[in-house]
Amino acid sequence: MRTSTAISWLVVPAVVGLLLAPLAAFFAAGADLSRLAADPYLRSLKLGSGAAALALILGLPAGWALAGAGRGSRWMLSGALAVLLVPPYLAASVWLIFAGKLGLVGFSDRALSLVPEAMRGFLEGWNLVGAAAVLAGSLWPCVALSAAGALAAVGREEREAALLARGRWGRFVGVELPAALPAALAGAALVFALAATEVGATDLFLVNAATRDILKGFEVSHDYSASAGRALPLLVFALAGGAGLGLLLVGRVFPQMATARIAPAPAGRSPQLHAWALLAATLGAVLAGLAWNAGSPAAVARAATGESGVVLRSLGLAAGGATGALVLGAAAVWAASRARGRSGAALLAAALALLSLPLILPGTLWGIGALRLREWTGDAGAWLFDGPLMLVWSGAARGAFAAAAIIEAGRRSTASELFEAARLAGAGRVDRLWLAIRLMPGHVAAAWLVAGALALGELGAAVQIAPPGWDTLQVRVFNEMHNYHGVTTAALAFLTTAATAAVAALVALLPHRSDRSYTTHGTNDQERSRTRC
Amino acid sequence: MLKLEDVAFRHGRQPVLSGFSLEARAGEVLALVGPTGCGKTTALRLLAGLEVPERGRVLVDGKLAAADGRLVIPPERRGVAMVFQRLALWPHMTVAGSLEFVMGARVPPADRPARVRAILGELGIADLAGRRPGELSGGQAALAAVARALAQAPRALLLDEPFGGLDPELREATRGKVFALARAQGLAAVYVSHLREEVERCADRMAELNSVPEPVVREG
Repeated sequence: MRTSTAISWLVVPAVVGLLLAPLAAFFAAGADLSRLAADPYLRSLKLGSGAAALALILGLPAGWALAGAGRGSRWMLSGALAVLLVPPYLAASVWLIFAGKLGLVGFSDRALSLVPEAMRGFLEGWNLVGAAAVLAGSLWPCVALSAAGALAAVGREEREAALLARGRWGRFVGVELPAALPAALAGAALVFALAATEVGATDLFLVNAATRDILKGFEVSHDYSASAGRALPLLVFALAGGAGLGLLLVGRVFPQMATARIAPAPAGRSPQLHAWALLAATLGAVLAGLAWNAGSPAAVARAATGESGVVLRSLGLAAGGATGALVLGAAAVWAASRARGRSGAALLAAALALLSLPLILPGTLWGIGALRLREWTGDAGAWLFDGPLMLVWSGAARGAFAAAAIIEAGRRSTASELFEAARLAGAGRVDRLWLAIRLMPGHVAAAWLVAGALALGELGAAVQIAPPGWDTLQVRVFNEMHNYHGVTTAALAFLTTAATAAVAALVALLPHRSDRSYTTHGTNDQERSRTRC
Repeated sequence: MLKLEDVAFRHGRQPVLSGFSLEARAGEVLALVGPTGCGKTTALRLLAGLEVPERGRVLVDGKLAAADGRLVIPPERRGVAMVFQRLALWPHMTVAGSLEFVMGARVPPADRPARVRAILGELGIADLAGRRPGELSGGQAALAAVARALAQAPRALLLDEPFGGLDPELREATRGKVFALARAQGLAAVYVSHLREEVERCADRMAELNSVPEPVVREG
């Protein structure tokens, strides 16, 4: 075996093992299948299907708008990313505040008695339909971004050839839709996976889906085997979903998407209007709802000052988690890329599939697994399990997949000859690593920021493992939302959402700026438009 | 058949064409030559309707197609087919599938296979009908792109250096075959190249486009 391949087979399992150790501990407890019930899974199935279908309807037209290369499309892209990164339970809380008993429905009921009894369940959102709608509103960018990626892969000239021959409708039916639809369906499958395994929003809506069933079951009994038994189908499901994601990202399915570069797409006015309206409803309304509930900018400022401890702590922990995710995710990608041939591609796909598990599976399982590890290690593990390192670890686990996927995209878009030339010139490994960072600063920064946003929004594990005095913004806001919707809670939720939106805006702008510096050989307009983007 | 009259066009702030005129006539091949980046592709895109001139007029069969930033006849109604520099074959369609797709409503579905066979046969690539772009060599892909353009039954054929990736001998043979077909069908063909010597021998007329702001157009 070549040395490089041997290193790959050592580094990748080490990284994956480190990040997935609590999950392994969770399932290693032994699954008591007698506690496995069908009803919660049936609800998860309905929740996932409903959210996926609605996200497909909402997200597919938006894909055309996001595939553009103009400034408007860039802002749309950042908005879509923000929607995806904001934890769904924050959107759920806005729904409850405005459409639920604390808002319109409650007011109508109390003041006017306008709400028919039969409709109340739907309007209040205390049911599965509301949860599915909120999750579709949070996850539609999965569909839109997938469709946009596939559309970008088609290329402008291919679209123009169809336009010349068949006009706009022919171009849409013959070339664009066949390219976008399979990718959009893959995005909808991801929506299904994320919605079916979502824990925060389902808990707020009191939908006793599988994830909530596991959480409540563990809170009552602290029975690890029963929890593992309840979660076993989720693991099978997440492994299948992770494998699909891994194959997608290494180009085994939809190979055009793996090398897609966003090119100017002929987004008409309708897709753009649709996308802006969608962003207004799913991001603007959440921000406005939380701001309205917080009362005033002064109240938000007071909350930020009064709760500066938890705010700064959460940001610091998220930064730590993001750094861990970036280092470990990049190490996995780098190691897998060193393995040659088919085994290298298989190793990379496997690494990405496994790294996606902490993102697809509810964080609750990771957290319960960490508690299990704590029990096993006893006092010897106190330094790790009873301090903030645990929260950094959980943040790194949650963000590693995104970081690895973004770094892999950067690696693919950087010509291998650049590294080969450096090697021939005598550059050592450290020099080549530095060269890689210099060649794709946008991707490195985007990986860190996205991982940071995911770590900041991590809830399921943090609820389980946050040591006393180390609760995060998410834990504070989520726990308080169960009891009341005070001004401070809303202000903190607003700050979280605004910070995530700011991160998304930075991410959408960063790769654009860095890629421009390599536009050296664009000659005609077609060249320019391709290399620019 | 196709005419640019005193057109001006800019990419952002950068002027690409200024006061440029050109006429392509039915049944002849017009070569448009000039150095890289001088606006040859832009001129073709203006003729096709994929870009609209900031100033000046575009005429198709004597009718106004675009003028002063305004599109009058959309690209799909100009009777123009284009073979792009990167060929732009659709990856999800076979060669025959692409030809049938561009025929659209012009050819009844029952007649399409025979028509496809005829076009591919004329170009000598009948055996490639079932292949996808990824399964074609450079020369085969270029001919497939030309076949797709001809399947549109256009009145004008725009060729944007589509044979640039081929070796000189194959390029000459392919170009000769395509020019002969264009002349035989009475098409107005415009062929873009940055190699003057390459087209001097085989084009009917030649227009030279130097750098802006004063393009020199020479016919002969």
